[in-house]
Amino acid sequence: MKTRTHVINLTEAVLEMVLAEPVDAVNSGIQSQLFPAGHQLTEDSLLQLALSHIEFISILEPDYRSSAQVAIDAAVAAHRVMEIFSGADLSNPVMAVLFDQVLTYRSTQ
Amino acid sequence: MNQYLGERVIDNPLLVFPDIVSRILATLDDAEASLGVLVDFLDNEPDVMSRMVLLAEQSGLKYFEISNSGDLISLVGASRVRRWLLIDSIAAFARGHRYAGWEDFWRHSLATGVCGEELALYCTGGILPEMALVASLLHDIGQLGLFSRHVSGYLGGRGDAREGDAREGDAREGDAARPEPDFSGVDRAALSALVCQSWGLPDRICLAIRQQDAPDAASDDPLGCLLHVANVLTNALDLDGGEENRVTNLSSPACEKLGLIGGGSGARLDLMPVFGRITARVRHANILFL
Repeated sequence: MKTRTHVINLTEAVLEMVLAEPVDAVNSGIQSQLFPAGHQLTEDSLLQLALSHIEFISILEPDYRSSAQVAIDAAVAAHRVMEIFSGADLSNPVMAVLFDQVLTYRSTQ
Repeated sequence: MNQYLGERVIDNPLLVFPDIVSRILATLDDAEASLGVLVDFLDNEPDVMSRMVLLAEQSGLKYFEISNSGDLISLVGASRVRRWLLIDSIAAFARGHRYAGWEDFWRHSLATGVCGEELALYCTGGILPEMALVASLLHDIGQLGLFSRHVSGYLGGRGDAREGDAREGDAREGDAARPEPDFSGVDRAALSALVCQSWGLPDRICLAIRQQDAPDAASDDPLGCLLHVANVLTNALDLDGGEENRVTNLSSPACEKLGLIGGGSGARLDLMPVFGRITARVRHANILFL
């Protein structure tokens, strides 16, 4: 199954979601890993995340869209990004990198 | 006109800034004093305490009993309570004005505030996240003063804040037919800085807000650079949903001062790691504070 990565607030997390990235917690200045990437959320892990003051997690979300829909969504996102950057000087290397990154991010959301 | 407007904005009886913001900012470098400010404020402001408990419930902590400020801080964490208090106080302040465009104003300010705080956590500029949050939330605050009837009447436009009755109704009858006031020629960054100065906010914040549109020439303090980048990202990611969002410039010197590019390692701009978190945080902040 196709998946995509999505950052969500802990309130949006539900059982059996899969972490896309490890979750670290800091206790008394010491950083330690709470859960590794690939961990499937359980009631216990959700409680532990809340009590560790974790607010946001990155999860792998099933992507049920057809290939055609993915292409349409990406095109709509790209059109909007180009509109936003229409007055930007993309010969400026920093602007060009920002444009690329925003385009990549928004096209894959 | 700028000086006259500045005086009118500052003299506006509706612009009474929440004192707790200054108290929090003044104790950021002293963990014990900072905690004392939070506890003292929450213990003496039951309405605010109730709102904080509600925010905790809306943030997934509804299964825990929170009966006092100690429970709240222990469960939620001092830094999150501090952040909620800062945003909630400024939100209540902005909401009290109710001019026709205040929601757009607040949506943009909130998005930029969250973005600024996340950037402070990500970049190497040594900026305290709370300082970044407040500066970013207030970067356009002069606009709130401009649109109050107290000021915009002077410009012949509509002014929707009801002096003496700021809680009821969004606009005065007949305002829709009146023209938008003409604010062309007003230096909004300077005006916003002036307002912050009149509230006694730290010089760092006032200077950063004044310099937000001229990041190349900004002082050595990277806070102004951070405001510039936060504004750029708010537009680039459509964080405030504004149809007119555009990006025309991202200052290389500003990025360098924030450690986002260059330096000894010759780092290349890489903001991809923060996009997801910024977007998620703004989405959640909109639920809590709009």
